[in-house]
Amino acid sequence: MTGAAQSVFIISVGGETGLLTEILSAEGFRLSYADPGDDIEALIQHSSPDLVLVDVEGSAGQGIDICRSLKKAEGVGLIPVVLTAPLPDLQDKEDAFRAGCSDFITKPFAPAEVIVRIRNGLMIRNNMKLLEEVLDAQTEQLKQSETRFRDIFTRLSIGAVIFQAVEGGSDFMLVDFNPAAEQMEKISKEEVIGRRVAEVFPGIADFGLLSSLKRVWRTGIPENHPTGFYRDERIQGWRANHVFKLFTGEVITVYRDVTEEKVAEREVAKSRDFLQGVIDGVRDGLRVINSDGSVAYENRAALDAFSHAPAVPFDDSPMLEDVFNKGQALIAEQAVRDAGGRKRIFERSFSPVPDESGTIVQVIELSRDVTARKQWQTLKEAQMRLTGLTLEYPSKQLLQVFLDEIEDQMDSPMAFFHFFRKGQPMVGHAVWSAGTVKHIRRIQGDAGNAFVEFAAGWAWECACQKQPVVYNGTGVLPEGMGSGEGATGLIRLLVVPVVRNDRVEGTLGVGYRGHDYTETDVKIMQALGDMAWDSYSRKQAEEARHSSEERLSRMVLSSPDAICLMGFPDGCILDVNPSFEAMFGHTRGAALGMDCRELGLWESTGMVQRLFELPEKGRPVRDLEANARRASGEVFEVSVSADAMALEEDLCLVVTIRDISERKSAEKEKKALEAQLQQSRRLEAVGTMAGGIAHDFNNILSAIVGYAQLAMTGVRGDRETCDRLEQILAAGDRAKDLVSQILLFCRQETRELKPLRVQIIVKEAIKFLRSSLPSTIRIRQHISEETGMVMADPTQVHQVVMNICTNAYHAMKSGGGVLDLSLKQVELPPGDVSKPVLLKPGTYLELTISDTGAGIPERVRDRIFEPYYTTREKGEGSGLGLAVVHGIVTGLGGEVVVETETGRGTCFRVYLPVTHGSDRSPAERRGGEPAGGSEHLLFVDDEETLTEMHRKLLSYAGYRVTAATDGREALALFKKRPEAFDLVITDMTMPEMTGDVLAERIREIRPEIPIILVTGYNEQITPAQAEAKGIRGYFEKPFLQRELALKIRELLDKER
Amino acid sequence: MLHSLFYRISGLLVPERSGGDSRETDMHQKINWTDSYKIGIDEIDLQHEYFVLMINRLMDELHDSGNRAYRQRLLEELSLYAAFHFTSEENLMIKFGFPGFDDHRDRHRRLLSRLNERMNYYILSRETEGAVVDFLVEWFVKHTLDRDSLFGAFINHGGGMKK
Repeated sequence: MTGAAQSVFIISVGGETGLLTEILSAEGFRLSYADPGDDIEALIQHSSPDLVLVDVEGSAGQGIDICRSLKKAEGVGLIPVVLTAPLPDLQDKEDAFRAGCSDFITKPFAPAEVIVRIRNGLMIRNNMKLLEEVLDAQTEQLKQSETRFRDIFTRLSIGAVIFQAVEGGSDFMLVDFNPAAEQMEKISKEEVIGRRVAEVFPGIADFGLLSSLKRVWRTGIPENHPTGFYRDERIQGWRANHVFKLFTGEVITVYRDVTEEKVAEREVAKSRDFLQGVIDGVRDGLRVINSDGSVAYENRAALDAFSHAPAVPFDDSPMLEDVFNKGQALIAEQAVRDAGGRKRIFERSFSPVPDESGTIVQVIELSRDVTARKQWQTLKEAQMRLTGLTLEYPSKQLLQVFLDEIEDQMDSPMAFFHFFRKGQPMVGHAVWSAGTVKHIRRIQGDAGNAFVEFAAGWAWECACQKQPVVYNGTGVLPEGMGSGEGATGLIRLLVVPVVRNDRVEGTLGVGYRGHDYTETDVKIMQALGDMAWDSYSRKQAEEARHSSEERLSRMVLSSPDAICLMGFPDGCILDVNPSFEAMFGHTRGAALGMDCRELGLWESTGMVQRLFELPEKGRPVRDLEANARRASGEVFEVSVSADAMALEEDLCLVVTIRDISERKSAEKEKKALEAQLQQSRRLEAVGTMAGGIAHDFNNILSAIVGYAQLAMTGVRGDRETCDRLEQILAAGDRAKDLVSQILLFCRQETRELKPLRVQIIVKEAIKFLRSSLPSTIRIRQHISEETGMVMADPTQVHQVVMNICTNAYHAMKSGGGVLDLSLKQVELPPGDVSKPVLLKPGTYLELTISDTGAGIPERVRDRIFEPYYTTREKGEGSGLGLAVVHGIVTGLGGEVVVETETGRGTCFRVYLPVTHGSDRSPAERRGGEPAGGSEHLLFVDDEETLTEMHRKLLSYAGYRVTAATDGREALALFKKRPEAFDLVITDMTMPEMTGDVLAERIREIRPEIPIILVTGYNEQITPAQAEAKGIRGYFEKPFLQRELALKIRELLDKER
Repeated sequence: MLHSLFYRISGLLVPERSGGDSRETDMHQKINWTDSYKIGIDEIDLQHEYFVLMINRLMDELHDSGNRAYRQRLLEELSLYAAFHFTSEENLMIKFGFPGFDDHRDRHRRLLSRLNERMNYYILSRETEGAVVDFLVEWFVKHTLDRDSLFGAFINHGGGMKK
């Protein structure tokens, strides 16, 4: 701690001092003691302890009193007093500290507590002592500097005034005033000290110094109060002040009286300002240049033009040198880019200034900015150039050439024009200047697209506003667009609209210039935009006119209709088109100048008349049908349209003639075709009905024939009964024949078709006819051997020939005549209208059978192919003849047509398609009595009579027959003993289970068993389908027992 | 009346108890709390009874415990309890306007000053447990039975208000 032992004075109030003595002396304090009864103050003054410790045994009150009195005592008050007492209440502590105690130690205490608290007290005491010493030293120093300062202050040659802020710095009081100030302001220090500044210097506020004082006082920042003129009632003069704040918080101003200097200076300035004003007033740049090249003077305009304007300064040295050397003035025009990148044009003159001796010492240079004037001038030139371009280029290129010119004019790297389509609120196509295209190519890809869109966006903006849009700013550039000229991210754009009739036709834009677009630029651009649009649209209109003329003449030339231009009223042909030449067979050369009546274009004179009435009626002729005549004399049907019109002030007629002869004949054919179609539909309907009847009839007939055969088997010995049964069978045969003919007509009887040489059958028929026809009827034949074969059934073909011939015979029966049969192969090419229309194109056999009879009356012509339609007496014919012919021929994919003329005869033509199949002779199908057998057959038919008949017939042939009347029963029988049966015969149409299904089920059990399917008139299954199902035999009702027996034998033998 | 009787009895008791006490003996005779010690103020009597309990416990513990820090803390506990008790008592005196308050208050503080000395001496190993215990027993007997009974008598003789 400190070097010397510290002394503690203990005042013990009651009790003993032993404990404290023991604690404190152990720490090396010097101790002295007193009791309340002693003259404590005296004792303390005597020993001057570092600290007093009052130890109270009982209540703290007495100790506090002692402390209070000590604090008041002379020379003792600064000594810290520490009090220790037991159980102080809060009031005790309060009192103690108020009395001046520096610390209070509550008993019980710890020894360390006492020691530390006493040490702390001592430390504070020591520090204060040190502080006092420092303060004493500083006070001494201050005294010295005060003296120095005072000395300077009074000796200063300039004025110095010290102010003290009053009223929170809103006013100032003078606190010191140096002799120099006394002298300057003609007032003594005594008169001013302690007074407010405004009292002493009433003009201070006007002078401006008061606010300076306030500011400096507030901020502490020194200020130069500029030289100004002070004036009050007492004194006046120019003063230059410097104001600053002292560390004392006072503000001092030191100042000079500059009145005399100021007056002199003002005189000079006045004359200079006048001159400067004159020169600066000049709008041209003026510079005076010394012979060494330095600038002696330049006016404001020159500064404008040169100091910040040119990016690259003018190189004037050659011209200056010239002027200095020759002493002659020079004038030049120069273009330069200013700092903003703008192109500016100056007209400059250099004039020599000689001195007394005539030596050129300086050059006066005058520069005039003629940019604007020049710009309009070049614009005018450009306009002339553009006008020239209009003549030179087609509209498409014109705009691009314009844009290139505009690019140049506007000093911009890009120029573009956007069209706005009529009636569409959107940007149309754009035309770009060469520079812009280059730019877009360079940036390419998405960024290029972005630029295109970007430009369109501006065009759109401009069009919406119908105002020029100028942008001279920094913008966020689409990616890649910063790669152009001056890639700084600074973009400028100017887009102007071209407005016509309050509609924006397009926009003209320039952009990416290095410097801003100005109002002048906007005006120029608008002029350019208008000019570009006008030139362009004029040119386009001109082109459109040209091209429409051309289009029109092409239309006339290529028209398939004949067009003829005739003079009125002379009817002289002025022009014709190529179609006219082709249609009428008159060449253009021959037709021109001829009167249309002379040429004989019309079959009747009515047409000419009609045409020449046109101008009077004032109504054009439309699609007037008439007959025209070709040069060859051929008359053909035409449709005529005509109109009168003025051609180069002469009235003339335009006549359009359309050849409609083909259309007419086509219409006729169409009518015939429709009639044919109608007939064939009618026949089909009748056929459907007849087919249904025939089917039912067949079943009945099967039973009649079958039982008759059965009866014959049973009555072999009875001659008479046999004969009668033979009659039944003969009638059955006829009935069967009839049914099969009906089915033939209906095309519902399927016959096995084979390639067939029709000649054989026709010749056979002719042989038969010769023997049966009366001699009044001659037969002629033209049978070509060079034909292909047809797919047909011989019987059917035979029937066709015979039926037609029978009809011919009937037609000629009474009067005789010629029956002509001819056969040849014909080709029916596509579109051959002279042949039957229902046939597909291809190769056909044409069988023609004609008679020279009475012909068919017109009223029955349409119905001759209908069944049961006959003109003959009852019994003379079935009424089925021609119906069967029709059925057979159409069934074979052919066609039969009839040509008849009343009184002259009738001709039937039968067309049969020629097959391309191989030549195969028909198989012989004749045999004796079929062999029987002893095998076990399963016979199924839902009609019990039929079943019973067949069971009997087959039994007679030696077979064991099991009969069933429906499919289920049959299947049950078969399942019971599958191996017992050798063959199955089933009817197709049965309730519950049809024959084919039964066959399938049976084949599931025994796949190899032969099955014969018997069908009625039924389209449910064809022989091919049956075969596919594994059915070996297929019979259609009615069939001969013999045939069935043969088939059974054949299948069973094959099985073996 | 009853209190004055107690007072007398207790006065009789003192010589007997102190006569039986030997300063040489480590183990002191414990104070046996009886009604005779009561001064007739329930609150104070309760505190006194507990004070006795503490002194008795101290006798045992100062003797038995080998933990010096613990022994010091027992004395602190007693000192804190005494300060609490004195404050309680003084507050009652203020409440009832006991005329001997200033003197009594001073005595309380002197006792605590002396206890401070005893504790410090004991801590400095300048005194034995026995001396401390002697001081406490004497304190209890002299102060409690002597001085506090005056306050009890004042209260019960209607010096201030009825209890």
